[in-house]
Amino acid sequence: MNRFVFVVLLTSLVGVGCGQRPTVVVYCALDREFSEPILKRFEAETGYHVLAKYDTESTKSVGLTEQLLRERSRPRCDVFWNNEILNTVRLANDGVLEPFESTVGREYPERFRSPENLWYGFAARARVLLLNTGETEGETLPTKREELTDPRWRGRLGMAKPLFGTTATEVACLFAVAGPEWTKQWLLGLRSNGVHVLSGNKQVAVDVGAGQLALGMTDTDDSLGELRANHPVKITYLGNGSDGLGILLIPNTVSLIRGAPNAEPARRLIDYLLSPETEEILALGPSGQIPLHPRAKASPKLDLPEHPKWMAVNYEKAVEHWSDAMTFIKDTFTAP
Amino acid sequence: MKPTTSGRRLFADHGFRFVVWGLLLVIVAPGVLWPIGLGVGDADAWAMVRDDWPRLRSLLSSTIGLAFAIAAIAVPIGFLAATLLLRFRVVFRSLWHVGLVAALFTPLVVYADAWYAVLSGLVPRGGWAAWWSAVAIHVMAVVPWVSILLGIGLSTSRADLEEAALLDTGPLGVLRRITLPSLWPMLAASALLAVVPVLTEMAITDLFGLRTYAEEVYTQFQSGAAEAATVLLALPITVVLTVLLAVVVETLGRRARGLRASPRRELTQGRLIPTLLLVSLAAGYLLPLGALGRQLGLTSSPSGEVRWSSPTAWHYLARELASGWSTILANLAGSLVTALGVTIVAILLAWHHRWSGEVTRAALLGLACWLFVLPGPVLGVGLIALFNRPGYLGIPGLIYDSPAIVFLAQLLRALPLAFLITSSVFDRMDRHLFDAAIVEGADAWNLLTKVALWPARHAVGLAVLVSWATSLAELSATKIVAPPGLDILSLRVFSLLHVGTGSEQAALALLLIGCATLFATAVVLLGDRFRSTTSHDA
Repeated sequence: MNRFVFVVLLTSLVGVGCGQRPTVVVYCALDREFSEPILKRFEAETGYHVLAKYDTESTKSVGLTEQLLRERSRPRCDVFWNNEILNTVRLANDGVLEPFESTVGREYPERFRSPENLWYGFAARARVLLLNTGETEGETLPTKREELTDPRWRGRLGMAKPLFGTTATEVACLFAVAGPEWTKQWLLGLRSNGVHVLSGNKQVAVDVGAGQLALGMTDTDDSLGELRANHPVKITYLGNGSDGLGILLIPNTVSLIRGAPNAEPARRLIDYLLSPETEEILALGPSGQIPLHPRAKASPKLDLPEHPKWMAVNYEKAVEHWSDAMTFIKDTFTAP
Repeated sequence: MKPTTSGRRLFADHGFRFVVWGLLLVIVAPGVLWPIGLGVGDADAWAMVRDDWPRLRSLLSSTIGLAFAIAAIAVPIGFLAATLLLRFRVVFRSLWHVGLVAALFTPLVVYADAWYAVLSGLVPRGGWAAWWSAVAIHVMAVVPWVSILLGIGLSTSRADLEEAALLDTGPLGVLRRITLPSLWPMLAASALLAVVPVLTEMAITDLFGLRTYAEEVYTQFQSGAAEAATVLLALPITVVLTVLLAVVVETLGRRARGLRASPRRELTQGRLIPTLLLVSLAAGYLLPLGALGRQLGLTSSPSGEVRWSSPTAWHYLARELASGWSTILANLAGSLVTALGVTIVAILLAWHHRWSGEVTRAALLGLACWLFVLPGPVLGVGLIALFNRPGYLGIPGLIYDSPAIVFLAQLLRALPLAFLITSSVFDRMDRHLFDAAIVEGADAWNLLTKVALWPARHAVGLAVLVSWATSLAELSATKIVAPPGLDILSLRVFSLLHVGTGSEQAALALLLIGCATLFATAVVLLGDRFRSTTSHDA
């Protein structure tokens, strides 16, 4: 009897295994609420089954990057959809990514793709300063990063934990563009000015929307959430003036993992994500991503400056500063 | 209960021992040996800890400060709640019991959600506000545990002494002079129980940006530090807590062996004041619950006007139920399977513990205490280090890539409580129950399945329910080991807490509180049956 039950169970399991659709495994750092609908559309259009692992806000992008590094000798992930760029470049430098020549990927501007076809950038966000209009009414608002260390903003400014996510990206980019010394002094100035370090960019935006903070350094997608909820907030772009460092643009990146167990469906998913149609969906969706493909026509309602001055950052150079930047952050911001 | 010689021989002669040791190997390897081996055996990790010592010292002091505040607040509140429920007349007593157990089964992150709903927009951001918020959330989550532990103490305390003292002094005098002094081991145990979550969990401290040991382990691991170094960080505090907990459990166990639950005794006849006091304590839970309900239906107009509407509330509740019911059902089923696995393992270990000598009993108790206090992230790191490799026939890799690794993580997290529940019942069973069966030639399996299990059925049911709730709410290890494609409810709540809109969060939190209340009702019903059975047996 027991043997019979065992045989039936085994046969069922084998049957289930044989009946499975082709699968692609994605590690996705873009918020699940924004990325899941895209992956569901891909499933519906191609018949592939997508198994996704999402990041949580508090360890955004770095958590998945470190997991990919730990799994490099036995990869199970096929596609890494990162919501920023520096950690993808880190993976490329560490040999975790596989070159893949995507036809649609080649149409993106050179600045947003790897020369070796290891990664492609698409659908970008910008780093912004979100203001609570009630809390800052009648005050002269900051236009440059360094003005955030002004005593007027003592205890009224928030930022996400700079070890993770786009806050970490911004710090490493500033190390590359403004120099390590300038960035360190700026961060120390923020700390001595009582900046509140929260668990993620969303938390920063929510607290600004609720009036618990007057200002918060965050991303465009999180800011849009507060605008959509009709909270009294306004987006400001720091460093857009002639003497500023520029607005930091951070693209999503997609890459094929070296030794991916399901390489063929993975390539199809990468092409799908890079298509102008996907960029338009992301631009018009709740995350309001900025399209980078020349043929993507939709533009999100972000009140971008008429002539935005983008930060002139070389992402490869910024990655060279990653380790030093994180060591400084750990010493400065992770003590009790 | 000391084992009989025949009992020892019984276990020496049969395969039971091999099964138990096999299970222990599966449990001990990822839960104990691997983390210790990883941390202690790595010279670089020691160097990192040595270099980082000033920062770690301040982490330690901040952790201890947080733990002290939680214990100092939670233990008196828990004592008051237990005393009101067991020593005074209150209206709708069963309802209070259900509420208490529902609060016990409510996941920690749901408390955080509710606390956010209360404070949103009211309290300015800042170090102390965050600190007190974390304290308040942990207090809310541990008060039910403290109350139940002290309730057990109260129901086994000396009735005759209290009744005699009542002739000389009032109810408060009796509490102060007789009840409280007799409860000191339980008070110590409840203080320890109150601080364990903040020492082992990172969800709340991470959310509020507070620095603790568990949070440090989690952050270090996620930001790419060597696994050995992150594990080494957590070991000292785990060892100290294990020893303390083992001593307290053993002391309580020895005291409890001669005691039986006594009938409920009330110190006064009045119902109004005790009930009002309980209501005021319950307000600490009802207020956040109400705030979640408020958040569920809040809408903002383009002009900035904020109002509550019941259609909005129903919309979000229905939407969450419609989109999430399959996830909720899958999680309930998955964690039930885990709970059944946990209970089977707990029964086998508790049965072995019942018949073992002092050394093995101490080792098993130590193992349970170790697993109870081991920070979830450390367990996750240990499991990843052990299974993220091809290994023999690719088996470790198969476990790493499948839900089996989540099953294992949740099993190890839920096992200690299930073990303590089942072993406390087996230990209290009179050995004469088994003598006749042993003479008849029953082996260890027969003795367990045909003699011991039926009298222990209510405790076993309780162990299943507690393990079910623990597995369902487990976050800190699950978050690290979850494979792609697995939609885990506790992770979803944690994620929504960071990225969701207010109404979505509130809907999911309220659904989970509903589940906890259903669990609680079942547990209270089972508990009543269990109590009546043990009183009858006594």
